[in-house]
Amino acid sequence: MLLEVENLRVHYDKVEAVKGISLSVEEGNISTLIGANGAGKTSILKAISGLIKLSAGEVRFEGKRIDHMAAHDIVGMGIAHVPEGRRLFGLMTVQHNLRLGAYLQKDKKQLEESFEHVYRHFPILKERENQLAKTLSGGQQQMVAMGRALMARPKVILMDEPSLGLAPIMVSEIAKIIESLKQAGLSVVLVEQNASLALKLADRGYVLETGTIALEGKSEDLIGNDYVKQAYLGG
Amino acid sequence: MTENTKMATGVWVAAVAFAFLLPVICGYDKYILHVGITIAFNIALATSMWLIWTLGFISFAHAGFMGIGAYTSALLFTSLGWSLWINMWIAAAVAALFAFVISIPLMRTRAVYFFMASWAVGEVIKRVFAYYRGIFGGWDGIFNIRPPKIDIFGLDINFTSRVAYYYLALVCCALIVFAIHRIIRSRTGAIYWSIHESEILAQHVGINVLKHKVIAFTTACFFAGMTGALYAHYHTYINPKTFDIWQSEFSLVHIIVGGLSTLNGPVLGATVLTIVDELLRPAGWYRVIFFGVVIILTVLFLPGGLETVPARVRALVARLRGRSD
Repeated sequence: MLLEVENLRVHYDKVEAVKGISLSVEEGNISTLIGANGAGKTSILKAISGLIKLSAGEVRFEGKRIDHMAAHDIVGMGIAHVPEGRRLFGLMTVQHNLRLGAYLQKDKKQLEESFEHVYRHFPILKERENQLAKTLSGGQQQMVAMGRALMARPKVILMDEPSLGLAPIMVSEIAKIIESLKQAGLSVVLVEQNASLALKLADRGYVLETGTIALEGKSEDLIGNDYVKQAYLGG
Repeated sequence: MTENTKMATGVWVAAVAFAFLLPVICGYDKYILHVGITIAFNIALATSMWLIWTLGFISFAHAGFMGIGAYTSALLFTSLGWSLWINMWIAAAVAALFAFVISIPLMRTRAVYFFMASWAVGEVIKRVFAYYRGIFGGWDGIFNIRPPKIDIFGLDINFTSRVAYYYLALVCCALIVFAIHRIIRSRTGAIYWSIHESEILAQHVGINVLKHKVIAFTTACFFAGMTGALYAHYHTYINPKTFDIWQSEFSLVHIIVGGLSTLNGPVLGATVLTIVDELLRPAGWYRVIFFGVVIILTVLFLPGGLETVPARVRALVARLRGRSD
């Protein structure tokens, strides 16, 4: 197992946002966390990447415990995080944004390879290399955010609502890219409100409700599940 | 290299050349050289303060760290007789050491809280100098700090000479500005601006934010400490008031009036305002009011500071040309 989360709990002051959830991600798989606002999806991702403290539980990556490690060390181990809302360094060029993603790489040749690798996945970014990030369209900004995560050469990418606020055509574009990342051997943890998209992409799904896992299983099973259909797929 | 950066480099080279020729141009006028030395100190202080700003912080303790450098160097001279050549580096190191220790808790605060905390640090530094009369001479300060001498290879220069000290201040100031330029142009500079823009996002990317903040703060205070030592041996007399909040505030005004987004800003601001300040000397205490007025006018009518003037002029010329066509 590449990434394992066991009995994770997260508190914001006295409010418990994540109430003891467990999940696991296999190598080369896409796992998705779906659920409504406030279900605790983003908190789980932040806890994995070390951006918030967990109050209980364990996170293991390649068998090693990574909870209580600092965020930058976790990135160094191979977990990249694409934050919610396509957050970029808006006043920097596309190239600089990507460059910062490879913050931990000091080898020049390796860095060039990383750039090439990202531009293969996102050819449009090569064209827009010297443009300020904030001047890009929403979809392109999402690509920069994903490209920036790829620059760190991760084994797992945590993606927080990549489809949020994008035009339908862009959503399917992003979906294609996520699939191609999987084909390249990466694992993805995908947090989505767009449940039908997420379940179509994922191998395994977790349905979150107010900080606990209500349902989990293979995504094709979840798609067929009556409860999921009614609550999340609008059917 | 684009047209603009070529031009900027040209202007820089011209400015440095002018600075080196100034003693000859002004006919070794002592007063003008004094203003030149003051400008050099102010530039060094403003640019190093600006280095902290690239991470999004304004430190009101900056002049305090200059004071730590000045007192270190002064005490080494008066008690051990060591010259500025050695003291300057020890002064910078001591200021950096204090900065390193205090920055670890200080850099955990944000925005306006950092303002207040750094203000307190600056005030404490000043008070310590004033309180321990036995060591630091209290409010009276330290006297009889002598400029250094060079006596090697048949070269015999005494830096009590205004011209010699002018060149010393100029070289040190240029080195500090160049060092900061290199830092900002490097990968580290990009990391600083990224922390400036969004600390949380920088963390997402895997940047060790606290580490970079501590290093930047320490580096900036190293330069401030060095400037302090140069200041002490030039004026031969220091007291706690020289290094209080006001001094930091002047540097802040220099940065804001000059411009915040490139290194040109603090250099330009410190130069222009030091000259204006000297011209206003007859106005006495009203000079302080002038600084307040200048900062308000800049924010209102010249957001971005003096460094944006060339671009504004270019835009204006282009518009006028467009109209006449």
